Amino acid sequence: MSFNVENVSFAYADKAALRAVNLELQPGRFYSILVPNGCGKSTLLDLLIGHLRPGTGRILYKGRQLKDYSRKELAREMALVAQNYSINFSFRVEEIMMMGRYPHIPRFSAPSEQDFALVEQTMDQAGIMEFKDRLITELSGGERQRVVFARALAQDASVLLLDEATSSLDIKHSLGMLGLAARKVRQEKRTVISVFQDINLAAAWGDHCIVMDRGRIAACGPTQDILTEDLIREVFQVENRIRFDEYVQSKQVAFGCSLEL
Amino acid sequence: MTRTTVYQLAVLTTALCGLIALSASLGYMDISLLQAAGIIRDWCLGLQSRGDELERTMRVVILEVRLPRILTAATVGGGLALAGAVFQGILLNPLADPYTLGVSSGAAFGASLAILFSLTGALYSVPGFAFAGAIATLFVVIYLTYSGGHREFSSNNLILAGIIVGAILSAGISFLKYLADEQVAVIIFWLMGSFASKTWPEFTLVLIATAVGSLVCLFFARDLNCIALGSRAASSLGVNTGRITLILLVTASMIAAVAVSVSGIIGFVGLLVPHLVRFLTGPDNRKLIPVSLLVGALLLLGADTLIRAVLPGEVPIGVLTALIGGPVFCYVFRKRQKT
Repeated sequence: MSFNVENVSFAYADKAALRAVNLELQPGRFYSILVPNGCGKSTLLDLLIGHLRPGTGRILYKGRQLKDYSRKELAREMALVAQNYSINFSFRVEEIMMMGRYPHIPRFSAPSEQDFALVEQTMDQAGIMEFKDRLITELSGGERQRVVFARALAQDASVLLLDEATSSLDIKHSLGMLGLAARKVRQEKRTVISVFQDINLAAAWGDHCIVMDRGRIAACGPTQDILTEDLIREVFQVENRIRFDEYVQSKQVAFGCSLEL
Repeated sequence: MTRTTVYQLAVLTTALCGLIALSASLGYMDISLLQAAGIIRDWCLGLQSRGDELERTMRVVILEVRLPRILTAATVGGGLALAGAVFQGILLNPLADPYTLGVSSGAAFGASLAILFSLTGALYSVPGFAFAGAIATLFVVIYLTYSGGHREFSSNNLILAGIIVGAILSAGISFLKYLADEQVAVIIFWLMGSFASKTWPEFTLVLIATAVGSLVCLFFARDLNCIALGSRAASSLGVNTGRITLILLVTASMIAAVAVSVSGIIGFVGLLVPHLVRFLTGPDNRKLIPVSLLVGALLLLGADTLIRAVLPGEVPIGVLTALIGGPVFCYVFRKRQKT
């Protein structure tokens, strides 16, 4: 078991963001999270990674309460690709990548041969080898996002959380990055928890799907079972048709006009 | 630490020692560079003076008059540059300097009060008031910005709070100047900064603050790198962003507060030096912080030596650093726009 989220609520000041959420997340699965804007997406990720503490309820990771882990321990277990990937200082791409190894390197030690090898290998897999000595400030938005994504992979954690991690990538690189993450799930039994705006990408990549609505879990389970026209209409308030697509090998959604506009 | 950094640090340390000896030999009394270096060496080794009366006089001039001033200037320069580098790192803003949180205005207000009420009689009262003013301002700014819940500081809010509090204090200083009558000259002179007639106790004070502060900043240098990735990313790398931001803000401001209370307000060192050094080392704080420390020491000592021994009559150091630093900054800025 990776995560047990037990009856967790969270509020900012007096605005409730999550209400009595229960989740069980298993290793070796790719979880897609679908959430309308402002319905608790970032809050859920922040809680899972220990950046925020639950108001009520508790979160267990590998059977132990999240708050009993030190920050360093958590950083060795979980990596996050945050939504903000603007970096103000002109670090070289390789330096950024090496920051992913910080949780594994003692404070005043130099990176080991293995750290360099892992960084090199990850850059190669992510196809950013050509940027190695470029400055992060000189890269385009999409290129920078690939570097930030690769940095999280270099962290070599069992859980990878993606917060709209492909939002500014073209389709080729989106598929490339998600493919890397999916391979980690299948071959190494890692867990990927990924928030998507694109429902079809979410359905294609996530073997499991979590749909949230106004701070509650609207549905959670294998993507094939839970993804229905009624659910999407209810949560996102758009007309839609869902069919199984042979080419993608998953359910795909086509959208009609919005109910509310 | 890479070999290049070790090499840079070695060269800079050697240059600083050389500049200290050179600066000690320059001044009203004629002392050769070798004599000056010899006297400093003997003093470091704890040897007694052996020469004639002239050499004893030289010894007094160097050890009691020049050296405290030289070492204070170097330490203040190093401290301000380091604090500037740390501020720019925390606030993710290349325009930040050690005075961003209003430390200088607070110190100036405190010092003006002390001068206005002629508290100069008691030992250390102007520096004491300046320090109290700086620290009080720092905590007001942090109090205004601290949001409680998530224990995070928004850099925009910190900068804004610093500007607001600074503006209030500036109005206060203007009012004190208005009230001060003939003492207004003293206030203005203090505000422009000076290392004239610095003593060993003052140097010791600055040295302790800068040394302790540097160690704290170096300890967290790696975390500061992660903070450049944004607070959520830093947090996911195991960095306690809120706590480290607070520790570093207070540490860097303390260094600046002690420096200001001893030497008055010296601008541009804290802004300019980290920018120059980033060309040399890149933005990695583990290199940037120690190299900035040495470069800041070199530059401010150089400027003060220029004032003390080369220029006719004493120009206030704060004016000189702004006059030299400003155009250099414009040049660097312009050059960066073109690339």
